[in-house]
Amino acid sequence: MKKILVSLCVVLFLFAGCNKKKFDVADLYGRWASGTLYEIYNASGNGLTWDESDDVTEEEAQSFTWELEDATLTRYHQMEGSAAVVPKTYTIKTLTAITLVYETSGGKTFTFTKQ
Amino acid sequence: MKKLLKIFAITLGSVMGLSVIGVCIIVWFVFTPEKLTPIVKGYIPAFVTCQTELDTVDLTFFSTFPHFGIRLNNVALINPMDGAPSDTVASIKSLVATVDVNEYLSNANVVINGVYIDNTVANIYVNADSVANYDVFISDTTAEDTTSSSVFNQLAIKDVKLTNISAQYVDVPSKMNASITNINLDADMLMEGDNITADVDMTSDAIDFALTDSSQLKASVGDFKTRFSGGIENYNFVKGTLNVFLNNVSAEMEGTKYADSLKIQTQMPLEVTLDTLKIALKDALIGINENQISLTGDAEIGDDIRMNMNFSTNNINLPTLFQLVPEEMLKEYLDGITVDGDIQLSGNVRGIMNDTLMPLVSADATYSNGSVVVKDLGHDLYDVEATVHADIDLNEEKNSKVAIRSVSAKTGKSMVTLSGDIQDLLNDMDFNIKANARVCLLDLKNEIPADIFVTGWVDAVVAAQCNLDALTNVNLKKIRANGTVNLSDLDLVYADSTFVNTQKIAVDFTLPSTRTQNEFKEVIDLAVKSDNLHVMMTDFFKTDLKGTDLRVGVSDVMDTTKDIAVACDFNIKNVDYIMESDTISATVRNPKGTAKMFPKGKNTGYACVFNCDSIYAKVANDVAARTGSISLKAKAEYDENQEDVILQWNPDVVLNFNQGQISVSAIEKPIKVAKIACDFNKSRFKIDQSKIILGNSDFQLTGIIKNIADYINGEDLLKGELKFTSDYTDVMELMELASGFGDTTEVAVDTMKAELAKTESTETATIEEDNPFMVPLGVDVVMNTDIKKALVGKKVIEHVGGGLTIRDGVLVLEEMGFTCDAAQMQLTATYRSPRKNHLFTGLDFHLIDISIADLIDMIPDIDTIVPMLKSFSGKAEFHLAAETYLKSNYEPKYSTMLGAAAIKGRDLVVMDNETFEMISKKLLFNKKKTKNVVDSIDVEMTVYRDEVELFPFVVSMDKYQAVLSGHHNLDMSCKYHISLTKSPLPIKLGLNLAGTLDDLKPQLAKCEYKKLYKPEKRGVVDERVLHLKQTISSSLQSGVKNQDALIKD
Repeated sequence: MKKILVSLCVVLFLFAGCNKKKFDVADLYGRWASGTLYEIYNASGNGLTWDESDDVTEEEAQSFTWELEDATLTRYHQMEGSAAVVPKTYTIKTLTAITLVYETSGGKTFTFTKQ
Repeated sequence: MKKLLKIFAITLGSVMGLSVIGVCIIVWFVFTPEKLTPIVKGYIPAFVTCQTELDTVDLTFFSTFPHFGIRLNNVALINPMDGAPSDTVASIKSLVATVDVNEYLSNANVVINGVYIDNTVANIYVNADSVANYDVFISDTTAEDTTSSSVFNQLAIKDVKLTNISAQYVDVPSKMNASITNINLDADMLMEGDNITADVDMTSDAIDFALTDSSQLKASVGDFKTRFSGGIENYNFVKGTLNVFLNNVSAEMEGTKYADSLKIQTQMPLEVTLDTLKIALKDALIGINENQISLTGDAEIGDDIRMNMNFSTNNINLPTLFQLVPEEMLKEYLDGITVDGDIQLSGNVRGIMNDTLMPLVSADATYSNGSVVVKDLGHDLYDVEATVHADIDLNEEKNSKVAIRSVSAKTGKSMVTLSGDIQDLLNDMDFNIKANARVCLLDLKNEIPADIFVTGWVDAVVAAQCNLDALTNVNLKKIRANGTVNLSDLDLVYADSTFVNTQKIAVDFTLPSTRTQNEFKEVIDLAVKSDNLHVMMTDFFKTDLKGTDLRVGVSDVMDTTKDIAVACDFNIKNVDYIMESDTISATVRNPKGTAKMFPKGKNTGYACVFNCDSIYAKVANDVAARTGSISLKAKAEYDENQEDVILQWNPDVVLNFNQGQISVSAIEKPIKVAKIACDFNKSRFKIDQSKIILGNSDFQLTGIIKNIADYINGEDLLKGELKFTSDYTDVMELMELASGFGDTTEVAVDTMKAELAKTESTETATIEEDNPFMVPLGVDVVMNTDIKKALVGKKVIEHVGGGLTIRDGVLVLEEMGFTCDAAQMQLTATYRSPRKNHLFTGLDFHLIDISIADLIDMIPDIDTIVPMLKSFSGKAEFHLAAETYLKSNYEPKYSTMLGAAAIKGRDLVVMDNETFEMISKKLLFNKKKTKNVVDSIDVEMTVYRDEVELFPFVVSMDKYQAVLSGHHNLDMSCKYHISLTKSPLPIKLGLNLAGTLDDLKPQLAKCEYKKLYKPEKRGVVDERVLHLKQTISSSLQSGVKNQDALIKD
């Protein structure tokens, strides 16, 4: 019985460790599209985002810096008109070579396809 | 006695009988033709060289009673020449001469009682060698014995009668043919000593004359009668009367008729001094048809002709006079012109006439009952009267002149009178004319363009001095003229669309002008006055000008080398203007000033000085403006080679504007302008003074905009520095007043396109483009503000200072600082316009040391995002940065929206309100035992796209500590969490609040942030959260400047 309990604890610990998903950051590099919404993540840690439905072109895209730690994607949007920085965190649900799914801190989910 | 008489009668009869018998014996038996004829024939060769014929010579008595006479019958001179019309030079059927022998014998007087020649024909011929057939007479070559006295005392030729004499003359070298038919002459002459008296009558039936040279001159006279009655004294002085009558006088040369069936007659009492050839006439009449000229005076014909002759005509009817003028000449000078009326001339010709001198002519002419009709002119002149005096001096032509006593004429309902003089008549013709005219404008319809219909009257008084050259060439610089033109009851219609109406308008003009203009030479000076002038264009505008007083100066309009220059001084009591199509109306009271237009190099210059007491203008129900006095000085130089309108006009404007009020429908309250003083040119726009009141606010805008021309040429930035100064500004009121101003309800093109792309709609839509404010490129303008007091919401802020900068496409409200009871504030706002449907706006806003209640009051949206904030009372700092791109209709593009805010509060008191009540209840607060003081809160929040994230922040209150976080969407849904991390309770509770702000559903939940504010227990996630909060807070606060520096001088 004691062995069973120890084994169960090990399994739970292992499962508990699996909650911290880790993704290959290299998969994130590139240009992603979700409908009219586009995002670009560069290896340099810079990125761009724009939404064509708002009549915004890639040349007019909003820039940010980003970092990925485990499943948490953090983007820092430097404002154009002030020194203020707007940080945003996203929880990546799926990240493959062709698919990116993340959830905003507010609970909204976006699915992107790499282009 | 009776017997004595009987003896006397018988004696006388016997004597007479014996005398008759004696005469008969003498005539019929002593001097018979057979005896006399050979004697006469014997003498003929002594006189003529040609062949002669003479039938008989007889002695007459009874036919020449009481004198004996010698009669030659059928005398002929025959001299045949080739080409001559006849071999007979002359033939005389009968030639009778009677001599008073007794007188000669008794008194040594030669009295030829009669010479009678009947039926004579002469054929005079000069051949091509100039040899005449009449050159047959032998001239007396014996020297005249001047020493002997006259052989007779008196010579009298009592009766000379030539009957039926005809002559023909042919001169081949001169190509001349002439003939005269049936000459009858009856003359009596008495020669006594050196005195001769004569009485001569001569008639002929026809005279013909022709030259067959190139002139083709032909002349003929029908009846010809002449009579001379008078005498010669001392063989030198002729005194008598010469009457001549010519009927059917015709003349033609080169096919042109110069006279046709004229009747010419003279009645000429004359005195002629032969040695000096001086002729004196008194009341001599020369008539051609019914036209007569009377001559009185004298003429002396020597090497020079000296004359002093008065002349006077009868009233000559011009049409009859024109009949005397060759038709070709009439066509040349009077083609299409019909002239009627009478003319009467009188005058004097005085002086010497020779190769170099001409006599002076002085004449008066009167033209009456005249009419002149010029074909196609459209004006038939009638009642034409003229009285002129002319002095003609062909020697000194400058002395020739005409004095126009009066000239008057009428046409239609119009009339004109003239007077004056013309000096230097034969050369320059210097006119000095005064004219009065009353013209019915309807009479000028032929001169007025067809699309103009005008009625009314023109009364003109004009005086003019100029010469002919200036007049014909309209050389205004050499024409001196002035006068007054009064137009009355003027109605003008142009193209059935423009109407001009006035009761009276007076125009005074002076040429050349005596005024001087700096910009050009003023030539024409016009002064225009009108009490009331109406101008209307159908469906466009109408205007009334009351009390118009204009002084217009015009340059030489005939100078084609320069553009016309105009200067107008205006002083008008009132101008009412209505533009119907745009329902624009304006009233300008007492506008006065000067407007000029003039050539300036290759360009056109303009200058204007404008002053008025007031202007009231209204544009439909949208704009109404009322001003006080306005003073405007403006200059411009138009260069058509420039493309930009500013550079084209190169304006230089100085404006002073007082006491104006502008009402715009989009703005609820009127804009009151106490004063504006500014100047503008292509280099700068400078506002020296401006004072404006809008609603509760007052402000003054001053400063300068520079480099305008360089900016337009792309050579430099448009630079400017303006100052906005206000004693009091009601910010919210201004925003409310401005709200909707210039709003466009239509959807923007790009916006619409984007929407269409989004919806993939195939429906077509009518798209109208928005016109958002585009920040100009190449502009560097700063507007510094200095607002003493500003009302924002219910708060009065003071010392508002900062700068509004437009710099190369970016508009920045820079570091606007101010203070109020609630806080010190700083605002920086940015607006860029990369393109119409992509407009950037951002703000950086800091409130230092503000009460939370004031913060919520000032920015109500804070309560929406952080609803629990209103549960606190106390001082706080508020930092906000937000930006987004906008569509052309100023709707935000949410995909570009970024925002961050931080609130820092210390020593806050928790208010007892509904929200706190609900939270306390759920978290089991013991309100009675809880001291509701919060040491501090540090709230950070972000906005990204349509999502507001409230980062976790801790609230410590007595024994309680809670951490709050949440999300708030722009669709008004929200989700908040409260972790109770410290409390008397043994468990750590959490509370979720979800739903909408109006309907939050509380639900107990796991305590999510139990380690966040326990440094020793924090995890990675907690550290990241605090890092993000710190990033937000520090980046926001880095924008806070020294408050004292915000208020700029």
